[in-house]
Amino acid sequence: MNFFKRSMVVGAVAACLAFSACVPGNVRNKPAASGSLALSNDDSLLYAADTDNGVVAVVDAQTNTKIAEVKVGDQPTRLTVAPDDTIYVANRGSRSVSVIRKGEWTEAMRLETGVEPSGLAVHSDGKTLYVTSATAKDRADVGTVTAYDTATLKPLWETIVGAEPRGIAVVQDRVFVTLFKDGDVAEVDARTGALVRGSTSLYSDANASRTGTSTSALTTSTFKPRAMADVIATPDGKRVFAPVVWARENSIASKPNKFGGYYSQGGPCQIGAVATAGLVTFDNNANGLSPQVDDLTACASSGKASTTEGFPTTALAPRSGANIAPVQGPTVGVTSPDGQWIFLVNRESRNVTALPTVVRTVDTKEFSTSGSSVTASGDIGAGADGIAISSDGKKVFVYSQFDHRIDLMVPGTAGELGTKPLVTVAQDTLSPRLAEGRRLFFDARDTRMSSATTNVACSTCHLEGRDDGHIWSFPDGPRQTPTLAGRHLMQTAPYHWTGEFKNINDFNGHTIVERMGGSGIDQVTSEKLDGYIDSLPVAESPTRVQTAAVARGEQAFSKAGCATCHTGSLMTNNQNANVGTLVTRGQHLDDTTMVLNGEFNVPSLTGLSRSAPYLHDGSQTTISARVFDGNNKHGNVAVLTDAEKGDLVDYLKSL
Amino acid sequence: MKRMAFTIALVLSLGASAQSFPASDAPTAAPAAGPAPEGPPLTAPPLPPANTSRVPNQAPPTVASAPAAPLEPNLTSVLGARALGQWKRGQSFQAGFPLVSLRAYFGLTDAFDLGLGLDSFYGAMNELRIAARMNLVQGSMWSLGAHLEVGGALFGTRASREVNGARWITARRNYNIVPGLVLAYQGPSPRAARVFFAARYMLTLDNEPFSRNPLDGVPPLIQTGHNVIVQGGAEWPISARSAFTLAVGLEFHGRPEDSVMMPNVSLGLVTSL
Repeated sequence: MNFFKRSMVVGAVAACLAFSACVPGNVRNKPAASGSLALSNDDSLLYAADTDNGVVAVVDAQTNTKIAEVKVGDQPTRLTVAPDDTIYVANRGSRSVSVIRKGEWTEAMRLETGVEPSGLAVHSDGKTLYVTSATAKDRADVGTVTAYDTATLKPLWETIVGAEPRGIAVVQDRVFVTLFKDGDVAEVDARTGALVRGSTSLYSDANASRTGTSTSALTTSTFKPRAMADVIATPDGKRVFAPVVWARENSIASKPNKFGGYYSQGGPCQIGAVATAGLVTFDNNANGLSPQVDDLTACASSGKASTTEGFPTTALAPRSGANIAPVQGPTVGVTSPDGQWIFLVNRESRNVTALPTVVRTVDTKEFSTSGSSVTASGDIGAGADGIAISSDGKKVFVYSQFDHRIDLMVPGTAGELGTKPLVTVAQDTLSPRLAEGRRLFFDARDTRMSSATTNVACSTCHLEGRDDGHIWSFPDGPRQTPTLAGRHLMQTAPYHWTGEFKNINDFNGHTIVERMGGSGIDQVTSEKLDGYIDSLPVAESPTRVQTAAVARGEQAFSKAGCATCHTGSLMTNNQNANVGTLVTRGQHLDDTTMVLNGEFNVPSLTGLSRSAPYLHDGSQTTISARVFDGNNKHGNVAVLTDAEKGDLVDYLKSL
Repeated sequence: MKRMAFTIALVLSLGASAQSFPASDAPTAAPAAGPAPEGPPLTAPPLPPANTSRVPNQAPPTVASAPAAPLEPNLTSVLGARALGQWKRGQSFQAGFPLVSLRAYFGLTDAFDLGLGLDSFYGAMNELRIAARMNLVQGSMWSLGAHLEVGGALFGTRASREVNGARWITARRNYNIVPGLVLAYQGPSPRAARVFFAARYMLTLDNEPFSRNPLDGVPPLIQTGHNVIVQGGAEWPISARSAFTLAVGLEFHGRPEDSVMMPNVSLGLVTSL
């Protein structure tokens, strides 16, 4: 090698070393995705899980044409692509994960999971698949993470992680799992399955001033994170994000419709509604996840540990008058390949929003003066729950589940993302009436349903038609969000916990207009909405089985007189009853003038095992606690032996 | 605040120290009478008889004054175009907006200087530079020089987290290459001010690029920037080896995310002490 060549080589190596030492290590070379949409590793194919049709559609990403359809299990909701291009699909309705090999376009295998599997993630080494299930196989109150060997497709371990795990992300050898209704993140050792941490300090950090000793709290409430559907890690793994909806915990005032209704105000720092979309930032360090969040009760932008405001705002509500797109119902998200941006799919506001991951925007440095770091937004279809970003970071695809359509987000004018519909991959399986009803149920931007300032949908509290586990402090007292799933709305009038609305039209008129701030819906539209709610299937439960104990429990149910009120196929006589549960002591009281005679509407017991907490005020967190600690006015449980009470618990869980 | 106080103190002390060296300007003086230093005895030439007696009220004798020796010209320029000369050195300190700068040149030949520099945006950005200067044209009063500086900068804040910070103000990035031409004029007087005008191009190499808009995509590993800096000013000699400096200028920044234009101004000292 002559001198010239040697010099060139040395120079090149030196240059490479010099630059490589400074090049950020966070540039990802493969596409990222979450929810019902994913890209193949070479960006050539899009995979969309269509929940209604039970299929995975395969779309050529260059020609935007559907090239194949793979029949999988019931209600496929999420999918992921492994490093070897194997596709795993979570079948929420059939307790399984489908395995599809690229190019074969048939279901190669189906893995058994817990109940309602959803979150899927493959370790970066490609050797392990992780699946979250909403409940364990034998318990409804906790969910699991199960690890599978991708070579043998055999389970490696299964770990209980808390109630209703949903989103999942693997960062090196740590698995992060969101707890959907609890609004927190659990951490599991990716190798052993050991539960490392069941929660974080998110709640206390976000409510630091009000829950701590400081007297600087400026808001009148604390806020509970919930609906944490996804967890999104930056490519370098140093940060983890989780979309949430913050729920006000203290009293909600009556507001006339012209001011947006009851729900319009009372968000963090009076920005946003009582239920406000948010994005939680965690720094991922050796000691676990450290929340980097605004202090929502002090209107402070400093968060717990950050001194540089280097995280997006924790609440994403549009301030009145500000030119910020409304955000509601964030479901899934991805970060850009360089980790600078996070894209959130907001199902209820029907848009995709982009936020910076490490800075606030120039005009949102102070949380108290603006509630959002959203810098760009683009409209999408209905029911969106899937997003994928190409490896070059220039193409963001979104799957709108209710429209069965894949959209491409394109650069738009300042502050906007354009939307280019690409391909519709399936047809409606619902009737047009129910399909329209579903759109209304999940829509926070339809002004018939909610005012622009209130920006809430039915599903903002009735998450996926179920409940949010939250206890709201309404003017008439504390009220737990009841599940609507499987309870056949149209057969259970009167409505509300106090049974104050004798028919559904009265209920809609009050809730949609007076509370959500909408202009109201006509009779035809109401029938669509009510029809959809009426059709919601009961949440799956592993305890919905017939056993000897359940049979004995049914007898105990009658023996204690429960069946007097909880009767019929829906377990309600649709009457009001005073069962001694009126709240007359404590911080949040029932208004005795509004709750006449201390009576509450007898609720249906369908789907009880998946709808904790219990009673109108959510004061009982488990069925067992209700049965063993219940007063004798609410079912004469005193006549039951402990064994019979145990059987009764099993029976109630089987409903 | 501490940094600013330190800067002012340094400028003042340098200025004061420059003033305290009249010997460098004055003709060589006779050694003062007094005890001889220890050491080998020196053979001094016989002194003429001195009239040490003073007669009261007698007017002092009129002594014809010798012609003053010419002032040694101040040719030590750091901001200007003229090279220092072989084996000579020159340093400068400047403070202002947006930078505090240090430069130290050493003359390798009569027309070529090599030096080291440090620029700081008051701690938020610190750049170490290697500098070279070549005298292209040297007239009796006019000179034209070519400058080249290559530097590596360390920033206090990651690029992606910085909003209108050091990068936005200075346009500098991780590596900066700054060639330029300097034209200087110095009048015939030994203490005449040197006026200079410099035009520079600054190529910046950014190895922290990031997507500034949501769909920008993955940025290149190295992102370049092209900037133009014009600067004028003067060095006012206060001694044969030191001069105060004033420089003002404008920087025109090429990257859209930087400030379009930024003024610069600095006061300082040049010395060869």
